[in-house]
Amino acid sequence: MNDKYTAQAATTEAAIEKGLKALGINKEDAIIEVVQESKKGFIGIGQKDAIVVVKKTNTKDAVEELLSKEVMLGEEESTTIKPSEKQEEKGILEDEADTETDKEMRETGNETNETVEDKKASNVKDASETVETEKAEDTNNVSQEKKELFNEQDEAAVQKVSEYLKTVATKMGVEDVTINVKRDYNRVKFSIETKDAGLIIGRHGKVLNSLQTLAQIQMHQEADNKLYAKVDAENYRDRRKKTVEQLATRTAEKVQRTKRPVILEPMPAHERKQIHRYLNRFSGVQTHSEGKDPHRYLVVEPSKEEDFTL
Amino acid sequence: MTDTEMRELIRTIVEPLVSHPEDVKLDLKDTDDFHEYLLSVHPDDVGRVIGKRGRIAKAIRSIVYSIQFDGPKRVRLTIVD
Repeated sequence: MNDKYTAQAATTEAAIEKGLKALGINKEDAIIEVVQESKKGFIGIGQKDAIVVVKKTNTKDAVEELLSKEVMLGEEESTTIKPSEKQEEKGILEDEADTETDKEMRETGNETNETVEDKKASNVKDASETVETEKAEDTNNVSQEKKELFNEQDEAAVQKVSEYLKTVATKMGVEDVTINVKRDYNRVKFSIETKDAGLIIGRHGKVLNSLQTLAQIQMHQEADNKLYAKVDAENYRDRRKKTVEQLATRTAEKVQRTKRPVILEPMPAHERKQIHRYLNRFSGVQTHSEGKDPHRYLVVEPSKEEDFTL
Repeated sequence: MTDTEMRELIRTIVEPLVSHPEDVKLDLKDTDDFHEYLLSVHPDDVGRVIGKRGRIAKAIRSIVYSIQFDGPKRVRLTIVD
């Protein structure tokens, strides 16, 4: 891996940005040395590009790198890396909604259950509570439909996608890859097990999401029934979800306290959605998104109704 | 990662997605700044590698670009049609 990169661009900021991107690291992990400041010049005369040297300070794991962003956002140390609990595993499948179709499916499936749950506990803060009831409901539902859904073509498709992920991962230069397949109704989860999970996940889960997109497409091409593919590595989805929820809780509390809107960092659609869903249960705050993808960001603001209870 | 490995990677990603895997062609154009891979597929398959709003193309690119390639140049993947 390269640890040093010399970048040249019209402005110093752009050059730094370029250098960081080339190394795939955050600003905090880099030593930035400005070799030459940029000069605007006049109508292109006397114009000079900025040259910066970006050096890597420490070779952090990609996973840690992802988390460092949350620490920044949360303004306090976050204890995001927790050993995954078995019970929570279901939760990934519930909330990891990337595709629109996925959303439809879940809504039709779980809506009734969720509304009941919502009434029961009006100000739910603990996500595990809903997860648990959903789980119970899931197993009931599934037992009826599961049988007819398991057919040979589907099985073959799952097998094929699993092979596909494995070969792609191997060709990416990741060694000793094993894929664990877990099927729950029409959701299929592929967990990529390897030592080099950082490579598979990528910055902010970019590679992981890409693999998921590709897996999803193959799945639709091959399978008889509509199956939904989830791709995970090292429980990244689970961890990420917890991080996002923590961030959401903190932001909501801040908004409740200060009664001022808070703007969050830009994040991908499914994470915004997680926050929207999660904060829906909080009284006193409302959420919406602004801006254009990929820089669309979420705004948490106090609700219009002033009669909220804290 | 070397050129051959990169080619293999792109092929492994793309071939299962298309209906005419034998028509997948991969050319390398070396410019001053980039290792540019020109991917061409059967006319019927172009949509399959690009996807709705370029979703698949984007996914393929982010995997390809995530790889540390040998040498100072960056990799670029272009779909030719």
